[in-house]
Amino acid sequence: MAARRSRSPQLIVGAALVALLVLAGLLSLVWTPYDPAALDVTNKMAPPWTDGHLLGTDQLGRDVVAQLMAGALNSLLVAVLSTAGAVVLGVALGLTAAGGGRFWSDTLTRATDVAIALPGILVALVLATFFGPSNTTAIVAIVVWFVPGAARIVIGPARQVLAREFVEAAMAYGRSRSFVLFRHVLPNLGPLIIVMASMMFAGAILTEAALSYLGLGAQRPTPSWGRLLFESQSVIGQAPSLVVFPGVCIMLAVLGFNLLGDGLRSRLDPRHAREVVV
Amino acid sequence: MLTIRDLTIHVGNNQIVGIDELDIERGARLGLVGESGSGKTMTAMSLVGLQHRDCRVTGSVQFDGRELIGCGEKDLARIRGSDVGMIFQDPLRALNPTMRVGRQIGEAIRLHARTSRAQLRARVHDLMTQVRLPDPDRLARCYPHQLSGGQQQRVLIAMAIACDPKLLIADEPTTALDVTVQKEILDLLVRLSSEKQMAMLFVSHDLGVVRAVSEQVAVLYSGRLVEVGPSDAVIGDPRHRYTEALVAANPGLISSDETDVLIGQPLPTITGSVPAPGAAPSGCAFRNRCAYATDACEAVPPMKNVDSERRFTCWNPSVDVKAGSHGTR
Amino acid sequence: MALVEINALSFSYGRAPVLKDLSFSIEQDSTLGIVGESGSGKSTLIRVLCGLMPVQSGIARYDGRDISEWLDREPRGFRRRNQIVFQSPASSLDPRMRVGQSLAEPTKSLERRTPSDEELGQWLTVVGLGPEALQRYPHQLSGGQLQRVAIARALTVNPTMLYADEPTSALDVSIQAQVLNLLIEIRRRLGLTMVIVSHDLAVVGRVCEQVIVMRNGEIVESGPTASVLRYPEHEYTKSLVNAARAVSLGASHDAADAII
Repeated sequence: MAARRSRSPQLIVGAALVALLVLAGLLSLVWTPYDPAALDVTNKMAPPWTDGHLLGTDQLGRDVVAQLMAGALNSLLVAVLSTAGAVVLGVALGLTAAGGGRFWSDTLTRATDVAIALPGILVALVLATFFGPSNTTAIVAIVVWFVPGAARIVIGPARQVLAREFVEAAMAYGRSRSFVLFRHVLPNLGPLIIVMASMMFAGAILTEAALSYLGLGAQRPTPSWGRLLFESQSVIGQAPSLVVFPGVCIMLAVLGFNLLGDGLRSRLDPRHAREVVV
Repeated sequence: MLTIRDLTIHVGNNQIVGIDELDIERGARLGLVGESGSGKTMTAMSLVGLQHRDCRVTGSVQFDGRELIGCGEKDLARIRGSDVGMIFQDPLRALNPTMRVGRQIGEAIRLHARTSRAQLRARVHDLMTQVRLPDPDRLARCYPHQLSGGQQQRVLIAMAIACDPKLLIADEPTTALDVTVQKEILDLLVRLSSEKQMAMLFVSHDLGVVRAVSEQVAVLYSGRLVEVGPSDAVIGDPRHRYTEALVAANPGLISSDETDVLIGQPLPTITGSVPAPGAAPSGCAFRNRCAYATDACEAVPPMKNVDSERRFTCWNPSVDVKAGSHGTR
Repeated sequence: MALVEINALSFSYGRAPVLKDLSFSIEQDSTLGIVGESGSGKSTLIRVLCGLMPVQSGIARYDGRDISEWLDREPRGFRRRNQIVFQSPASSLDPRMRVGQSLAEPTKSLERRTPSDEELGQWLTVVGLGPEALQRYPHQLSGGQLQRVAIARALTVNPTMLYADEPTSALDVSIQAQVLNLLIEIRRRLGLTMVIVSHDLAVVGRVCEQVIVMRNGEIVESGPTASVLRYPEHEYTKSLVNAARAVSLGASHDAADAII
């Protein structure tokens, strides 16, 4: 059983992909093979392995590797901030809904049900119209989009923890409701929240790509995978690799975080971790 | 009818259960008693191939002359549905919450017999009457959660006896119930078993409950049988020190003349708890908790026969002080 | 002297009445058993008495003072005197806290100080565990050990009154005896007043001097345990006693035979 705990292939592959992404992103701060914005006019749409351009250049002659690395950083930045925002707000909302009085509990639960039904992409469009497209807009849109889901995931398990007897015991020795929520319920939801965050991270990367593809996210000169996709789709006939590379990056990043989430789930879930058979 | 020989269950490299010999005659009721962790539930489940997937079962379990160990899943499923019925501790979990009670009982019937709708309805009604469910027609249209715990357990019993099984395996069926309901359910099980000549394997941690339903009792400790025999004899005059301690630890002295003397007096207890799998001491597994343990107990005690019905495995059995007292009853 | 006095106490969840017009008192230094089946209101009753649920109507006094008023003005003082132990050993401790952390909680909360490991270790000794258990997590302990920890946790604030809600019904018979003995012993050693809620007459008959039999939110019979169990008057009490006797080992064999 110990072997099963430590050697989950999902966890290893997921962690490796995520590590690769983080390394590439961080590296782009100090080093990229070329300046991501520099134009090499003699080498437009160069195929991979041309003149030191590992994955070639785009239609303006910019190095693809450099842009992908810088794009990774942008994706991570947006994903970290939006996931953090969504998790903090969602968990706070979920805990309040689970532990608050009957009125708050009912109101918040219904409100999240309604909010989940709203199409997130429309919310993003509205925000972009108001505030103009930018990374900030993308982050706010993703947070607004993800919060109700996060709250919904937390409410049920939080209620289960609240129904256990150590919560009643805590009340009997005078602990307040909010103390119980933060010191007893929250730690017990820890594994759930970690898994939820890593899944959301994958969603945030995908959403950021979608938003910037639609022109609602990062603007030039900030590189972004979604915009790379958008810009290169007009030349898909001449240089299909320009579409393929950002696409593959998005896919691998999403896959990485999803695998990591799955792996963490089976590792942190006590039902998986301690299978008692006697 | 049910013959168990050299049954062992392993999880990993640890042997959890090792039963050399245990039989249930046709129509007889046997109680299997043990604390949590003694392997009693695992034993009951493994008889019909329902053990956890990590368990490795070896040995022989013959049911009506057929070998069950190593039998294919398909055959086992058929046997479970038709010749062996089962009921469990938590009836609500064993019932489908989205299906009306009447239909669930009907499904249990239809698993083995093709019947017309009218016949099926009549049979469901008949089964519900047999398990003494009040107002069967109305209850049949209820969902499980609308029934009380006792009624749910009756529904489960109705499903278990739907195909007239030859053996009913009952795993702590009354542990979750109130005392008065518990008594009704135990009465019902005993009556059904006698009327239908249905054998019963009754698993429980409570000797009192076991004696109320079964003529025979088998005491399990750390996966091994330590004492087997007629319930009254084993409980009234236990030989194995573990059985003796279990009997003494039972607080059940209801309304006896001693009650006012006994209030606030400590009960005899067994110190410690059942050893974890693989952690049982060599020789007699009970010796580290036993007040009478001697050096002899480091060797595995042999099974000794008291008479044709009773046997136990203990190096230092309790003295037969009450000998003859059973004859006077 | 009566430590707890209840007069015309009622309680309902929404429209469903759970406790109907109850009146009784609990003497200081006594042990009271509250017996009844699920739905009888026995668990709700002790939750009202120990301040986990509000007094909706009627009067409940503790040590001569009104419980609701006391809870409003000085909740810590009330809670320090009234502690409770629950049924399920598996869920009565936070699985993410070490035993030591769980044990320290009541003192931190009610006395505003952090107890030393030595102090907590002594409480563990009182309940028959060693101080080394302080470092353990709940999943590393057995059901009986967990129940001992839960009892120790209730004792850390030196309560006068200990409520126990089905303290042994989730345990094996052999472990049940250990926990009952512990309750008997600490009661004697620490001079506690104890109220035990149980559906098991045998348990109450072994520990409690007084007994209250409840059904559907009402008290149907009460008195000294020995006489109620031996000469039950109410039909319901009779059926409870008969049912318990049928599965009792100590009772006469005729009683046990009657069921077969």
